[in-house]
Amino acid sequence: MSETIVIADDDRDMRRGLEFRAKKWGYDVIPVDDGERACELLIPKDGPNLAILDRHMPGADGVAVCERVRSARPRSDVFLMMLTGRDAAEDVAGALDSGANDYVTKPYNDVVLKARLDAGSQSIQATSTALARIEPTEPPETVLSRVLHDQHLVPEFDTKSMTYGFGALSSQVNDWQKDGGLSPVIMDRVKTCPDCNGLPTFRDGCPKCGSGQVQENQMLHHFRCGHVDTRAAFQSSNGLECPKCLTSDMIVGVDFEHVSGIQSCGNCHWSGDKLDLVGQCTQCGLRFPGADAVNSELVGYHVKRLGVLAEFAAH
Amino acid sequence: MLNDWVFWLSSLHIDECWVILTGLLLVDAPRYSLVAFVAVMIDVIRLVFRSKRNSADRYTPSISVLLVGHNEASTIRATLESIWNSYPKLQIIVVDDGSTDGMADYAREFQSRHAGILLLSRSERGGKSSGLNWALGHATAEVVVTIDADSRLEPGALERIVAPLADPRVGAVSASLLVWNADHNLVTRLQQYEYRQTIFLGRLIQSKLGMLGIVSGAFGAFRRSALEQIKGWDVGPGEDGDAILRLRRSGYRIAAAPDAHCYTNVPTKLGTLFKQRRRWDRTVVTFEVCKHASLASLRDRSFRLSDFVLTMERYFFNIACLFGFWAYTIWILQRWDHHVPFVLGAIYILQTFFEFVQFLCLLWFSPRPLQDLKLIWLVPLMVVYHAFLKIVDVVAVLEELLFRMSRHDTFVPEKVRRATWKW
Repeated sequence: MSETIVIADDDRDMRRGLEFRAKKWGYDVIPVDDGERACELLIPKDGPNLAILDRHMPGADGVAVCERVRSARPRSDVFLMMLTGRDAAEDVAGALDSGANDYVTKPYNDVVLKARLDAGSQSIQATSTALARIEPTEPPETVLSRVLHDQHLVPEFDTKSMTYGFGALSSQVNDWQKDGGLSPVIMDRVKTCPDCNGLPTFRDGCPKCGSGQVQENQMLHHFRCGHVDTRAAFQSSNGLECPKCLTSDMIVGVDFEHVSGIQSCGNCHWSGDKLDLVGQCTQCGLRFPGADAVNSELVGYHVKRLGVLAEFAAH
Repeated sequence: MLNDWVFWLSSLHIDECWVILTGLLLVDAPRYSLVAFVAVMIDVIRLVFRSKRNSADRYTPSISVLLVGHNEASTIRATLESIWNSYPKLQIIVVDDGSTDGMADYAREFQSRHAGILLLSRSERGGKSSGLNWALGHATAEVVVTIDADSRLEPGALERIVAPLADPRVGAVSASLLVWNADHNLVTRLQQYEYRQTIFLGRLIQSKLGMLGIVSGAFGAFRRSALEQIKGWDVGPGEDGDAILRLRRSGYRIAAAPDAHCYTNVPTKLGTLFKQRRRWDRTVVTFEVCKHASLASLRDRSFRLSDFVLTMERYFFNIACLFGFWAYTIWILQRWDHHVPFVLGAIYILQTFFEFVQFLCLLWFSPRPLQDLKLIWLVPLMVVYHAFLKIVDVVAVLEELLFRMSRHDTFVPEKVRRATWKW
């Protein structure tokens, strides 16, 4: 079943463009043109889990929508992506402070937007799956009964400590393994924080300082004369005009195309063509280069000798 | 047969000899051999009567090297290796123009091991002109050097190509292209000789006359401020020649650095060579006749005598004489239809003589005469080779004049072709 995404933007062309792309990527789309309507859709707990919000909208703007949605639903429940202006570092900071999970600057790059949406969607799904399987207040006896029944023990994700573990049975697992009751099985490999082994998030960031405040200086390529320049150079009082041949009234895809340019960091003013993967631990907050992440094994267990566990259960 | 031919020659009246050989004496000989011979004489006089010129101080401006490539994964690494560390103040910008063979990966791997390399990559092909303009926007050096992604520089080439730019009036510099795969077969050998005559000797002489109108995109140097003044390259094909004409219209001179060498691969089959030269030969119509016709206008405010002579030379030799030559040849063969082999023999002998004169001029100016001397066995074959090129030329010019075939050239991506200038 495909995910539903709310697209809120008062600019009709921008909204239609996003709607077209989201549908192409397999999402069901609910387009709205103002923040109030977006709030009505997103605040209910059974509302859509994904949304793209324009920073500037009439009535409730993107920041106001984020604040109101967050007061009802946590980050792990609904993924909010803010569309911000190209050179507005304040917009980016305000978006993240208000509760947005991520942001994309206009004009956006299709590949980057899709990657971020997919990552956000997967994150929401993984969290809801993990939460559905764990009841934090479930008494250990019930958990043990389930293990005895299923004959395997799977590490589960704890949203409070942001680590994988065995919940109420954590203190017993090592003993059972030593006693021969459990045999370990590598279930998966995850990248964890090099400091505390917590689960990090990863994103592209500045290779120098790790900041996420990076902007792509998008360029325009005018087909007619081969001129390539920044969007600002093409801006005129009459819209887009080529600074080389002075052609105006240009249509994207027919007269010109967007070309990805150099990345620049708003924090340390680095510029280059390639971003690096940057990790940030959700437990201790450590920010580190993605290459420094520790490859940790997720170990589960098969119940080898029921007797060992049953003995514990009897006590 | 030989005796019959000699007898036939000796039986010709002087007027008949003149009629048979006029086409060569009035067209090819003056343009190539005679001009080269005069250039040698001037050089000899200069050596005899003038004192030795003090060698100029070394001019070492910063250089931004621009490489634009589409599907050049097999050659890009060798190209970068030949450029890397060959000059002190160097910025290298590689543009991957929508490659599907992993060229960007090769460039990125090289970038990971070497500092000072900027890689610009786009998923869809936009054409060489826009690739160069994209790279130009990120260039920071005083001089911009363009190199094809399948070329290799000889050591010291960068230092030699920028030397003429010490003169602030010079806007661009043409270098010397050598054939990398010359040993492949006879077709590549002929092109090797041709490159020495046209790109090395021909452009050297043209630059001395102030009439140089082309800098090969495979290896050329430009003053960055001059390029920015003309706002970079226009859409091609032939964007390299077009940029030079626009630089000339802006008042810049075009110099030659004949000792700056770059190796490039040439077509190994006649069919491929035909297509390549057909594309090149169309540009005389596209640019000199159509887009830059004002170079020949006496009323144009940027009029210069050298530009006028350059344009007239192109109109006369590349268009008028081209058709005139073939019409004339067909006429004299028809006139002496019973002695066609003898007539062709006479034309061949005279052509080969002029070719030999030109070869001697090449040796005079060449910085590597012993290596060029080894090409002497190709001189008798050049007559046939030039006849082939003249056929290609006729086809190209006719196609462009009648059908504007350059508009359908796939060298330029279709989305760009649809929107480009239509001169």
